[in-house]
Amino acid sequence: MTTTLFTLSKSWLESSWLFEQLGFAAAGDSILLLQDAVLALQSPISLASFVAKCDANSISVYALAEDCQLRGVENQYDSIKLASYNDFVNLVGQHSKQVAW
Amino acid sequence: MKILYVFSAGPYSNARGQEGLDAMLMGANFDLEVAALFLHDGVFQLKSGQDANGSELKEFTKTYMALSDFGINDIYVHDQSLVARGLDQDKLMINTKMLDGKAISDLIKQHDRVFVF
Repeated sequence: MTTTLFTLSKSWLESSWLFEQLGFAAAGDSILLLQDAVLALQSPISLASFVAKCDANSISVYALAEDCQLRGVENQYDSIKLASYNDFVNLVGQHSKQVAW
Repeated sequence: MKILYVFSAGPYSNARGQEGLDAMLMGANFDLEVAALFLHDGVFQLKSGQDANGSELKEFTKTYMALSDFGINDIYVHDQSLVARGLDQDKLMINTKMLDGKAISDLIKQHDRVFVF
């Protein structure tokens, strides 16, 4: 089965439509939050429904640790895994393609 | 090689539509299987009645009407994006196929590369 890595890089306030659509990801796909997209991790409310829908649809969610650290963002979500740049490279390798939203 | 070009921004305030269109025509010229997907404000790329007369801007979106001449016949629009903006198929300059969110997931799966503009 071919799977896709979706990277989201804009703040959820600017791209709420995309978060609502789970970036058009499907079961087996992964979503990696980058740049301003990691800002949403600070509030336990902002991504609650997004994370719940991803869990229900077997979509893995990651956030780039370095982008969180840089912004002082503290991850409030147990099901969002922090990923290093090495993990990012591995994620790219594990999926057949990447879609950069 | 099947390539999906995604248009997600409205025309004129930035160059993303023009750049996506250029890239897509280039792909088609190199005999790649090319499809276009318009979503979010990108659906306004296809709005009929655009009129650049009296402005300094070029109405580049006319080129969308020639897509079939370039062999690009798979043109998709996200139905929710269209409805949310007061639009429907009748208000678009070309015929498109309407897709819901699930169908867009499938469309992405069916393509080898996806470029977002």
